[in-house]
Amino acid sequence: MLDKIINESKAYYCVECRKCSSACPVTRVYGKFSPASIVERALIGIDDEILKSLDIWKCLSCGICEEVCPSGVEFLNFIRKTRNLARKENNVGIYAHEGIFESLQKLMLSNEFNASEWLQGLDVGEDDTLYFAGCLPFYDIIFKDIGIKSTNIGISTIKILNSAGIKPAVMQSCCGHDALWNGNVKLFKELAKKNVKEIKEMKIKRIIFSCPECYRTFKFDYPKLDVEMMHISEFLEKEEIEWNGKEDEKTYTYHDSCRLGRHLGIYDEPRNVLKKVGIEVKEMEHNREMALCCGTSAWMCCDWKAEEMRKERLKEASDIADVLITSCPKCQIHFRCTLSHEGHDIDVKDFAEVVAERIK
Amino acid sequence: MKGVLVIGGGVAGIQAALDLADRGIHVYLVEKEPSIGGRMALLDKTMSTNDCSICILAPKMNECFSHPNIEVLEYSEVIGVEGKAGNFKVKVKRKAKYVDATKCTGCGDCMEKCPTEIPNEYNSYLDKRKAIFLPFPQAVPRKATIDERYCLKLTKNRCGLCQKICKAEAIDYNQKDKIIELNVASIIVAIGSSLYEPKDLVEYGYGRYANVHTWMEYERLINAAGPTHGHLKCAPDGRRPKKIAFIQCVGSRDVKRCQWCSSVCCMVSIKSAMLANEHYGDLESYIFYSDLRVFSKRFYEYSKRGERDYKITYIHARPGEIKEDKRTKNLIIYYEDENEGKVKELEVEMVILATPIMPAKDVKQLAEILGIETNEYGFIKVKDYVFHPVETTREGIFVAGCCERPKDITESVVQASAAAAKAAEIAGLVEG
Repeated sequence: MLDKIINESKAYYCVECRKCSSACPVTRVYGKFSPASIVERALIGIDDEILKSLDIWKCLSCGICEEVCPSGVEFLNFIRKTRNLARKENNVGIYAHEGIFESLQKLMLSNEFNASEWLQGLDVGEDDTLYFAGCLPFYDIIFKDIGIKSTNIGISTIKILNSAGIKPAVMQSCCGHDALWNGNVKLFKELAKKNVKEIKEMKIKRIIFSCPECYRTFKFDYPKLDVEMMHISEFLEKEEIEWNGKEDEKTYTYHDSCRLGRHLGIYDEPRNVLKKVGIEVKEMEHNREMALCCGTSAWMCCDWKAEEMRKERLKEASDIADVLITSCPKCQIHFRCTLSHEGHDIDVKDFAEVVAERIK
Repeated sequence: MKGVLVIGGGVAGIQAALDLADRGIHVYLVEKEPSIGGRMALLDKTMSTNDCSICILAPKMNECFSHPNIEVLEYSEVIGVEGKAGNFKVKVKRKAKYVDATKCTGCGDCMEKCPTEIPNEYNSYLDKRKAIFLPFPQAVPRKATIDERYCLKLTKNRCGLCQKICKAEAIDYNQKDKIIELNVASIIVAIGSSLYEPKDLVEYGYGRYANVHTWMEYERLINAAGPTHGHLKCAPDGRRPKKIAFIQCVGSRDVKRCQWCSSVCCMVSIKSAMLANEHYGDLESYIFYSDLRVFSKRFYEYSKRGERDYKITYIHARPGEIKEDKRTKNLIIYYEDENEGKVKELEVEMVILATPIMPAKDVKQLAEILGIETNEYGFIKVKDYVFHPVETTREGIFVAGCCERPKDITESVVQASAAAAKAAEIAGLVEG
């Protein structure tokens, strides 16, 4: 079984140079985790050992390993498929927040499930453009204690689209990203099927995403949809937008999320758009291809290691800027969580929020 | 008897030209730079023997230039080839040097006076040269050349200082490019290689960190004729390093970049580390390797000697990241220790990246002119690796040196002599 995964992910190309491990942000804070060793153990052929190990759940799927790997080993592909296999042996990792997000994902399969209050008063629903908002409203409820208002990202995105003369149709549903990366392929497929069916009925021509995870999942993991897809930053880069002239004394830095950056290769677009609205991004030491991860992905294994990584990232940001601009709602949640009990002098804002405030 | 055309005046081209000329065959040696010598002329020492590179090459360059059977056509390019094996008609463009070679004494007065400074490609862009220049002190022919792209007189009709200062009255701003035609029996292609620029390996900070260099830059830094006169200096204060590191396979053996093994870099880095230790006895070197490929005669012993006598430590790992200490500009290398299975940090003052040998930049263009093929990597294709290792895909055209695949000087010379023998065979068969 593992043989198939080794073949599909080209893990057998590994030359044991261990470059991945020395670049991996998890290994940096927790030396016992090593992508090179995981591949090595799989290649040696101790099937059970890898599938029973917690190590496969500690990976952030942030993709630095693939970025630096000279041999083209698809470690993320490897880890995702291994997790699927491990689940069958009852190795499901350690869910953060007691697994509430997987329950929510299952709930979202139902058509009865609705959380669209936040859309009231917004100019939506009359266009062949769809804004896929993902899970935003649920984060507002769960992370209320740390001041999260993810729907603000959605509201900002809609306002931006309105200013470009678009009244988008809005869909809020789980894209299945987390289920897929946690090896729950069954749940992922169900969610994908439901979403695809719904979108096909809508007869739309374009989907715009504010969440890089949704975008990545639609682009790479869904069956081919015959519609144009883009991130809000890609949309804005092509639009003629104008800065409303609103100035502040603040300095800004931009955090490349793993999905938007390494997974989708979108580095320049958000920076160019920020420039258009009067923000000169100051670059952190680790940026673009080498950007550090926010420490957790797919609500898995959020522990002291994640906390260490966040502190490191927040230090990099607060050393040079007053505001950290994120492009993924989860990055914002993770950073704010750490900020709620760690003293770093920095504010965290989403890309869409910042642009909406400064657009004419 | 018809002559032979050799394209490229590096060590391979020089060797082939001398072999042919010594057999009484007339040779046209076309070189695109103003001097013959190629990459070997810019290396500090040659590996495994640690000989001074230019010291062993310069006599051959001079012999080549003064040989009665060799016509060196420097600063020239092949622009057209017609005919077939035994009877090639070749068009060569001789670029204007704006200097009368029969009068120029190579004294250098003009270069001192010239006000235009431009990045010096012959020192890996680490310093500046003038618009009128000699590529390097031992250039052959030792005649000045005006770079028409930058000369103020030629671009803006200003200055004219070199003409005023030249006692030999050699400066001629009215010189024009000339096209000449040659008739040869066979052709040898020895146009050399280019090097990978590792800017896209962002994890190593080349171009961002002042103390990260490529191996070719290091060759110039450690060379007495280079920009620092052979002294290793580190930013920000010019101090000399005590700890340096070499990273192997930077861009090579990489599925996203150069898939091939560059074949010389392991030995080059060992040599470079030895030289550093010869300059400064207390200097330590670390070589991060994927596989230490020291395969030829006495190469393995050479690597062991480095470890024993020159304070070299070999580490089996490809580092994942280099960070720069903002204050000291020192470099912190992150790598995983395979024995302890633990990521470690090593702080050094200079890092040298072993970047791969790539096909020459103009290889595709020349291959088209010559009607020969290149392989999937862009190196010149040979008919058969086993029994026809110097024959290109067109009869009468042969290949030697790094344009065929990465190789060291010894191998380039072997291949050049083989190509010369094959080219002579054709020349000997046809009447002049």
